Parts: sequence; C-alpha cells; structure tokens
Amino acid sequence: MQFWITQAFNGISYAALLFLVGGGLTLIFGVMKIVNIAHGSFYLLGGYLGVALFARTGSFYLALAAAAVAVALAGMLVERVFLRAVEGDDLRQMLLTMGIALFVQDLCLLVWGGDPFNLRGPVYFGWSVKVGGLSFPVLRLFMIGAAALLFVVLWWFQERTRAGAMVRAAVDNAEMTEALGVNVPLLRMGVFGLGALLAAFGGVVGSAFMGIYPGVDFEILPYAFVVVIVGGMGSLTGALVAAVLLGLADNFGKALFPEISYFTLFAPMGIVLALRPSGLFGRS
Amino acid sequence: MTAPAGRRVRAVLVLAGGVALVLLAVLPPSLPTYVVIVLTECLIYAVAAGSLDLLIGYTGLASLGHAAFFTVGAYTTALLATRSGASFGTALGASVLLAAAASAAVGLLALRASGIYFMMITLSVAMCAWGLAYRWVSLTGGDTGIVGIPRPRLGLGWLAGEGLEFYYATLALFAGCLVLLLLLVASPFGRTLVGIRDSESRMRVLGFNVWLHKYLALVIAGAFAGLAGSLYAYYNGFVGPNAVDLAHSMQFVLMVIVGGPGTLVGPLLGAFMITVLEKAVSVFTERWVMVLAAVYVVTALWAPRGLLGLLRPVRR
Amino acid sequence: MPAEPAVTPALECEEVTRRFWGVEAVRGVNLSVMPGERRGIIGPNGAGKTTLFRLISGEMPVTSGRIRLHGRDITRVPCHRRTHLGLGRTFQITNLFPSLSVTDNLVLAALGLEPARFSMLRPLWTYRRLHNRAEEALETVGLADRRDALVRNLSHGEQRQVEIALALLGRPRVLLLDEPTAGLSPAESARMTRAIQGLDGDITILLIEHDMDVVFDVVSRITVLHQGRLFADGTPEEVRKDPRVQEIYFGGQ
Repeated sequence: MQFWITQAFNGISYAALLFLVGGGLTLIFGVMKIVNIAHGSFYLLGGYLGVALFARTGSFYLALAAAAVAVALAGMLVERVFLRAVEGDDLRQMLLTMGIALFVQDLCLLVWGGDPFNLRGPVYFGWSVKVGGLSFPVLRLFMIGAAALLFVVLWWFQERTRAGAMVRAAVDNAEMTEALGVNVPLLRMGVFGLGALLAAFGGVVGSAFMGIYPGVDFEILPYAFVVVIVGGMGSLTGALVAAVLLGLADNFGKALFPEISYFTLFAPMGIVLALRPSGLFGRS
Repeated sequence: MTAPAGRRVRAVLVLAGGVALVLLAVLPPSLPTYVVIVLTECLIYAVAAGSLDLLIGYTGLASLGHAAFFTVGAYTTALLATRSGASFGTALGASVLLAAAASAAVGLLALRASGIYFMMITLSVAMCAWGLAYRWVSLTGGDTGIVGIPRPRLGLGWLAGEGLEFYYATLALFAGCLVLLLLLVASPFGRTLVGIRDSESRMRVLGFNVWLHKYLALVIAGAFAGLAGSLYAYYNGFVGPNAVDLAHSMQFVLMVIVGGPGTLVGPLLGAFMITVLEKAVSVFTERWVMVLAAVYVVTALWAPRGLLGLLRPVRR
Repeated sequence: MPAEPAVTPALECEEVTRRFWGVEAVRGVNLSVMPGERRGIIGPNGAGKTTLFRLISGEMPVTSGRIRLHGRDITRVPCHRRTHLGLGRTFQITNLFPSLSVTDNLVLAALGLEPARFSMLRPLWTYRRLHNRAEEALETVGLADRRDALVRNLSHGEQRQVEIALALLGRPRVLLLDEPTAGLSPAESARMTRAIQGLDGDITILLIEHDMDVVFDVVSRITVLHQGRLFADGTPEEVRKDPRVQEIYFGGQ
C-alpha cells in the first residue's frame, strides 16, 4: 500500500513538471501551429539561469521569476525576429526551431560547461512532510502546488479574460480571429512568450528536482510532445490530464518494468491516436 | 517537368550524376583511407536521405521518424552480426524487413493525422525509439549500445586498402538503391505520390486510394532506411541510442531540405554536403553544433527549396 | 396492358442529411436523376449545393440518408471507389495539380482507374495508352497546344477546361459539374456551354450553376435548393416562372 501511494505521489509530482513543459507547448502548438523543437531549450535556459541567479541572489523565488521572465522575453524576440519570417510553412518553422534549439544547447554548454547543477533552493526544500508513516518531500509538494496554481491562473486567464478569449479564438480559427480585428501577430508573440515562460518555470523547478545538465532539453521534449498529443493540441485542460496520466504511467512503468518503461509513454499515445487522433480534449 | 528548360537541367544533372558515379567507382583505390571512409558514410546517408525525399519531397509527407527505421535496421544488423554471426546478406535482409515492418506499424497510427500533427507524431515515434534503445538494456545494450560489429567478409579482400572492400559493397548497394528510387519516382506509383502532394482531394475524386498510396510510400521508405541503417552498423562498428536521438533524426530532414526536396538527386547531394561539412568543421572547431544550427536557420530562412531549388529559378 | 419495366435512376438521394457543428447544411434532400438526364441544381449561396455534391462524391460522409448510383447503394462506399463505379466530379474552385504540366495532369487522371497506378518499376512515360487518352482529351477541350505548359501558368478559362477533361478521363456515367463557368468571360462561358452540350448523351449530368443562361441552355430539369432543403423541382420553364423561387433569389422584388 505504501508503495502505491508513494509511487502515485511521485507520479503526480512528476506530472507537475510535465504540465509546465507540455502546457506551454500545447498553447504554442494550438495557437501558432508550430512544432516547436526549441521548447526544451526554454526549459534548459530557464534551469541554468535559475541556478545562476539563485547562486547570485540567494533568493529562490527571485531567481524563479527572473529566469522565467528572461526566457519569456527571449522567446518573444525569437518569434518576432525569426519565426514570423517563415510563418505558414510547417517544415521551415520546424527547421528554424531546430536551429535555435541547437544554438541554445551549444551556448549553454559554452557558458556553463558539461557538469550538472542542482538548484538547492530554500532550506525547506530539503524537508519532508510526514503523514501516517509516509514521507512527502516539500519540494515535490511545491511542484504540485506551483503547477496547480499556474493551471488555475491560466485557466482563469483563458476562460474569463478578453485576452484569453482571443487566444481560444485563435486556436479555433486564426483567419477569422484576424478578420475580427484582433492583432494576431502580437497575440502569437505573446503566446510564444507565455509558452517559453512556462517551460522556463519548469526548468527552474526541474533543476531543483532533478538537476540541470546538457541534454535535458532533448530529453524532456518527447514527454512534452506526448502530453500535447494525448491531451489535444491547444487544450490546457488536456495538457493537465495528459500530464497526470503520463506522470503516473511513467513512474509506475519505471518502478515496475524499467526496461520497457518507454512503452508506458508510447502506449497511451498509441491508444489515443488509434481511438481519437485529435487527443483527449482536442478538436478534430 | 517537361518544359525545354527543365529538360536541359535534367540532362545536365543526369550527365553530372553519371560522371560522379564513375568517379566514385574509379578513384577510391588511389584516395587516402580517410576520404574513403567519409565517402562510405556519405553514401549510407545518401540512401537514407534519398528515401526520405520520397516522403517529404514527392508525397508531401513531412515524416520526422525516418531515423527510427534507420535505427531498427542498425540494431537488427548489430545484433545479428554480433550475437548470431549472421552473414551480410542475412543481416541486410532482416534489417530491411524489420524496418519495413516497423514502418508499417507506425504508418497505421501516423496516417490517422496530417500536417503538423503528422509531423509531431512521427517525431514522437523517433523519440520513443530513442527511449527504447536507451532503456531496453537487455536488448540494445542501453547507452553503451552494441559494440564490436565486424565488417562483413565479402570476398573482395583482394582490394588492397583499408575499408575499400566495404566501400565498394556500399557503393554497389547505393547504386542499386539509386536505380530503384529513380524507377520508383518515374513510375506510375511515384507520379501518384506527386499528385497526392499537390492535391489529395483531386486524387481521391480521380479514383486513387490516397491512404493506401501514402502507406505504401511510408513502408517503402522505411525499408530503404533499414538498409541504410544496416550499412551504418557495419560501417560504424557500433550502434547506440544516439543513432535515433533528436539531432540525428532531424539531420535526415535537413539533408533532404538542404539538397532540394522533390528532386531525389538534391537530397543525395545534401547527404554528402552535411556529412562532409561536419567532418571538415570538426577539424577546426569544437563548435560544430553552432555551425549546424546556423545551417538550419539559414536553410529555413533563405533556402527552403534547397541547393537545387536555388539553381532552378521560378518560371512565370 | 403490361407495365413498363421501371428504369433505374442513375442517381438517387434519399433523405440525405449532413450536419456539422450543429448546423444542418443539407437536410432531407430527395433527388432522383434518370440516366442521360441533364439536371440543374440551383439556389442562393449557402443553399448546400456544393455540400450536396461533396456528399454524393463521397468527400464527406452523410449524417443520415442514402445515396444510390445506378441502383447500387454507395452511402458507405469511400470516395475513390465511387469513381470506379462511374462517378465523376469537377470542383468549383479549380483543383488541379499546379506543379505538373497539362499532359501530366491528364495522364494522372487517366491512371486513376488503372491497375497500373500501383506499378513501381516501369516509367510512366512508357504507358502509351494512357498518353494517347490524355492526348485525345487535350484535343477534345482544344488545349493541344498547351500540352507542356504548367497548369499554374494557364489562364483561368484554360484551367476550367482542364477540370472537365480530368473528370471525363475517369469515364464517368454520372458527372457532377460544380459551377464550370465560374469566373469565365462570356465568350469562354459560351464555349464551355457548347462543350457541356456536346458531352455524350449517355452520361448523366448534374450541374450547379449561378449563370442562368447556361443552366437553361443545358438542362432539361432543375432542382432548387434553399437552406439545405429541396425547395422546388421542375422544368426550366416551371422553375423560371415560380414566384417562390424568384423570392428566395430576389427577396420579393
């Protein structure tokens, strides 16, 4: 019994990370229809910046906020300068994001070297909450709490604000949205920045959770992609549900069948594609 | 393309291609070993890129999963060669078959989608293949991979020179694949793929089972990828998850685009160019990844139709 | 007196309905077209005419209802198989293969019904019979001198001609023409009308048109659609004089 609860808790805390990365990607995908290979790079950059800023300031929350915002701005710059030039052509956009991903990867390697870093964070990240014989690390609780809070904020933004309505409209029908007078280029830039922000947030949290090192950008990408595919493109709720499903599946998979644990990632994706290609919450 | 200017360009390309093949056949014994090795690698990637062009350039299917089938072929050969002592022909055949089978399975899922969704799914397949290669340690050796793959003995040992025996085997297979691909592209089936690229709805209404044609294209391309992967295993002596990591997967696509999608010859050139570029740049700097990043960005921004596209002005 | 054997209609639609996003684009349409008949389908914009064509050709599945082609239920038959059963279609918005030449377009169309379309190792240019059929089609629509031109370089009128040629190469028994004269000059329209009139009398033709002159010149019967429903049905004269039809077009002027 203990095993199941612990594993489930671990799965959900991992899901928090997956939601942060996948949520950002699904928004970018849904609004901009781009296969953003540089998404992992936002995570990577966020993580390294978080570690560096924490080392400099000693404040985790300051580092978190600053890193997320910095990467968001970088993302918006990338969208404005590069992506806008190849709008409309899926393959070109993808090649471009691949180039940016490689660039960021090598840049980080150059600046921070090949050794992994761990963001220690505030002292309470090392503590655990003990409930009925089980031990729940505060860091994991923080991850779950942060992701849940972000989901609520984003959901509120999407469903209850004008800007959010514009985003939803753009997901459904970009042409029409533009015809209605919405500044779609600005919207796209904003969404890309938001996606980058979420990924960077995930990167900072992730660097506290499992460390930051070269290669994690490409490691986290398949997870983000599967969250988007299973959850449905452009659906934040879908990303949350998919993240939970995958976090649990991956955790139990690793614990029970480590060798074919990638199948536990692949299987939900395969099943969803076979039965409902547009994803659980996606629109066909 | 049957307009006179198109014919002239095609004639020049055919001539150039013929000359290139002759040079590739005749020069190597007098070339330094290192060059022969690089040429071998170029030929292997040329097969992979050429077959991917069938999908990206001719059918309009932006398949990002090509490396997965390449890797299936590579691991198949690696395992057969190291654990069963299988012969060259057996390993090659098995690799082609298994890669085609994997392609057939993936195609059933992937073709339920189109456009970027299709891209995402095929890319995810490649990533899952990577994950499997990385974690299924008992089969694939995990991160360490499979080492010590011996070069096949082909009875051409009288060719004095390091790596020449394998080079000529690769060249022969490359030439065979080239002929098959050229025939395929010129065949009725190949032309239907172009029709599908231009207008699926029109093709359906003309009586073509568009899904089936796409599916066959995927399986065929997968088979060629498996062949290339098999050769890669022998060439490299080692197969690891890096063969299907994101960078490697995307590299196949880059070769196709850089050369010129939809021309078949372009991607072959693209394979040569990228392979040689990597080798050359790595001599001078550790920052090959930066250079590669620049190639991606420049190609995406200014040369989306590739080298051959630059040579072919848009006619009004 | 012995009853005459009933002739099977070439095309039948029985309560055909298509619903998407909660809107019924086509509702309960009943249609019966006899072999060799020329039927006009008219109606204001948004009446569901092209949707009806898409349902008949199989590009879109029906929500409910049945479609029969020469007596055979094709409701569940996939789009490409309907072509093999003798259904042909042209598109309202020109739908050709822009990167290919006129000849290549036509050869591809001729290939549609041939087993050779799966042939992988023999070059297409060796299939003389297909090329001869393409050449014939070229002559029929008068585009022989444009055989090597890329379709994207043709004038709009020429492209509309290729549209029809493509459909004809499928040897259709029932042909759906979706606004063949759309965007054509009066002279080109006249030429197109003559071409349609000159089509084989055994072919059943359904014609969507906005140009009433063309409709009245070509068809023997008209079906009027309005808001997805069958609104009126009759000879051109009857429909022309029907005040209700005038109303839906001109809003009671």
